[in-house]
Amino acid sequence: MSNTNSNGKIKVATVWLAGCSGCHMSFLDIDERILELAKMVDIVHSPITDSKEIPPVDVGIVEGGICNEHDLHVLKDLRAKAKVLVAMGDCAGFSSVPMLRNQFEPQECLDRAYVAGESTALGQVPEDPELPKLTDKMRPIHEFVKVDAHVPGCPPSAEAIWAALTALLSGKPAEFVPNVSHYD
Amino acid sequence: MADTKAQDAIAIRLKINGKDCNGYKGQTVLDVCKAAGIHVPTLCHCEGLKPVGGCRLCVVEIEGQRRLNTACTTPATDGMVVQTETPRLRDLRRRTLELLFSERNHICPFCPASGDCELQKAGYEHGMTHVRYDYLLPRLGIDNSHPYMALDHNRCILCSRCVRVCDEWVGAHTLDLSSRGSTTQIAADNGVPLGRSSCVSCGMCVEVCPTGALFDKLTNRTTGRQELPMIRTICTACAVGCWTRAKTRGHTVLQIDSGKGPDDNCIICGTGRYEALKRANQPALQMPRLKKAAEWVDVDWKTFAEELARRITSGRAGSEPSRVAAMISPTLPLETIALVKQFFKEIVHSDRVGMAIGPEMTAVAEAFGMDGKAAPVARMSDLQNADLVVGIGVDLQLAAPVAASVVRRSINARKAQYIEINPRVTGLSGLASFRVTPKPGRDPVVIGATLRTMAERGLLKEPLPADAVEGLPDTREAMFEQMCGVTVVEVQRLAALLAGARRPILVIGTGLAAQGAEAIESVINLAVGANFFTADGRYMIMVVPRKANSVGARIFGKPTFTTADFNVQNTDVLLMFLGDDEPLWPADWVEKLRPLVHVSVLTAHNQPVCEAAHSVAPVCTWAQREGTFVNLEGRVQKAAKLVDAPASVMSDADILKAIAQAMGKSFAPNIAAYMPAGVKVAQGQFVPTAEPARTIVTCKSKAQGAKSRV
Repeated sequence: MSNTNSNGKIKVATVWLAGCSGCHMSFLDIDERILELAKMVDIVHSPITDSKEIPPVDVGIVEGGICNEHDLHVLKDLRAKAKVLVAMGDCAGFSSVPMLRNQFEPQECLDRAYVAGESTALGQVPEDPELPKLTDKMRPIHEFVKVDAHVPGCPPSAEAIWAALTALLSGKPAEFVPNVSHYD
Repeated sequence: MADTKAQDAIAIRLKINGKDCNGYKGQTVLDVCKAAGIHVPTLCHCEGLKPVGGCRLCVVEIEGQRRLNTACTTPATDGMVVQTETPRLRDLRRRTLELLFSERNHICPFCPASGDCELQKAGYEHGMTHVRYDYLLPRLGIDNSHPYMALDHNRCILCSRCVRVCDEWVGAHTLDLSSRGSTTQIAADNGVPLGRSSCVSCGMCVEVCPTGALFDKLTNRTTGRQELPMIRTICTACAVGCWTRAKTRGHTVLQIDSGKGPDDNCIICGTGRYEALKRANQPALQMPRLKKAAEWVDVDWKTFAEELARRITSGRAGSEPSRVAAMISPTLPLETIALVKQFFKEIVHSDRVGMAIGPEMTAVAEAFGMDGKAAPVARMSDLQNADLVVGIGVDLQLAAPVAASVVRRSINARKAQYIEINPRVTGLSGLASFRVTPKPGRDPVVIGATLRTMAERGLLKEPLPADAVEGLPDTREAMFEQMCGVTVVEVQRLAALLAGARRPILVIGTGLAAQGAEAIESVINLAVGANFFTADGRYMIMVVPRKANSVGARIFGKPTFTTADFNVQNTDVLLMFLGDDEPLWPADWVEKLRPLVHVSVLTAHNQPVCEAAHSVAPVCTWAQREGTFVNLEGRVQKAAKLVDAPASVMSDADILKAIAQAMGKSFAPNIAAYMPAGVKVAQGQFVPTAEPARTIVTCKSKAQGAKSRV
């Protein structure tokens, strides 16, 4: 991977779509290797950097799949700005747990959550132009954009993330690593 | 097919992935690959079940054939050139997997099978990182109606292993596939919930399920990526003694599966899988306790041993030495029986060691002349090969479910028919092609009359002496039908069926044996008179006793007493070695034992008879002890220890040592010296059998005092 920040580091952006943030947590589980990683990369955008705009980056990492219009917007934005796009975790690659809602109509899900909830009194489905609309189904990200690497796992272990990142950073494809990669 | 015998087959040679591989005619391409150590991925294939070629994962390229073939169903032929690992095959297999993953709910993170799932493993093997097809995810149900297992249709890949195992091995054919195409589902019977179906609860379907579609409710299969070893052992839930494998962690038994045992038996029943598991993990007694002023007090082992020592010695001081007695459950291994016998001989100086065997086992032992030997009876292999199975006073489905499976398999394969002599409806009654229902206690008369009918109609291979026939019950006797509840026509039909069979087997159970030795003798007479013998001279009679070691307990010889003839009047102190006897000791014993000075119950679990006890001490559960058992065939088998007992539970030997020490004596266990000679054979071998009778014994001949030929 040739290019870079002015300081010679590779620029990385991570986004959190329809997922539980577990993949980001697992990312932090790489422990002290994060220092090693920090020497090589600059994380310029992530759920904890609070930057509103995604700058152009070398690697874009996506946690979560697509369940609403906002997710799709962010995904397309990142795809446009990232040279390499990584699907991190089962939700991005397999739809996984959030996909269970696909057995129901979106309206049924909204009613169940906001109206028919056991602790809900006089509930109503929030409606505001600011709020993104649910897509008909939860879908994996490769149904919408080209994905360069998939790192499965719920969450992927720190080892699996590390293996994928180091492969990508050294210009190799991130492949399924036996005994490290897994679906659960 | 895998079951084709290698020795009498025609050798063939194949070239697989450029390597010369030997096989024989009748094998599939997959069989040859396996034998040559070439891995071909499979999902629907299951060793021992008929291949169906359903999952398409085992596709291979065969030279000269345009389409791909499934290795599991394609017969191997001489000169065949096969490729199992080409880029095309790998790509197709990966697509097949993605189609499987995209069809239903195969979301690993919350599936109980994750880490132990063949679909998942196949995904890993093919480096599948995502699914490129649209998910279908139909909304299917979960059948949670069964007490031990659940069926989540959403996780099913329709490999039909469960359907095949239920039909081909268990013989129940409860499960089948319903509907067509992508709407196909596993169904129980005609689509009833599993819990209300004809399911025999053996759990074999769960065991062979490659995914988490069928899963156990009791068993913790979520062992994740921890590769826990499977411990090989035998089941001690009934007298069949099937081979099992158990997975354990710490003090917990996680899972019990079938192990491939003798005669290629590779199934176990629900009692051996689920009931045994429940008992292994249910809270067990932890500390000895004494009853003081009608209140139970937990004590340490020293106090317990001292109390027992005091009772044993003072009981002796106040009365004859023989007033101390032991009662041993035949669910315990031979080693425990030997230990107690040694302890009583050397420390207590008494031979009053009784066995908790019912009158039926006593009757069997007497009728078959078991004295330190096994009865010369039929084995499971004889049951497998029989063409007529006669169930007499036995409910095989309850008493020996795996034997019931053997019978059902034979019936389903039209290899055998099943007939029943039983006043009660049994688990196999529905499959019986003929049933007679004698009045209670009249089975021997019906059986005797059947033999007489066979003799008089010339249906026997060798005619019986006239006076022997004379001694048999006669259907022409006045009131025969009213007395027996069986018509003359029924007896004649029974005689004809028995005479028409080539390899008939008479299976007798506690229902008949409880009627005494004469009832069993009537069956022996039938076998002798009609010449129902195995090739090596054993009776074609299978006896199904109550407990795992009922036969073993009787190989020690006639016990001083049994549950039936235990005399409370000449006993002061009773030591009851119960292990974890199941079903629980009869509650009416609480009253029966009241007159005793001291009753000590050594048991793994609290049970009603503890009410009558003055002291209770914890012993190892079946899973915490190892030992030798003799099954209904007379086969010597060793059960392995699966988990350690808690530190507060002592072994049987240590308990006896502690009591001896408290008595001021030294007890040095010498199990070998007290084991019956007959069981000193290699594991898996048979105890020498008593000589079978070659003549029939009738009441008349008995009255004349003649035991042999009449």
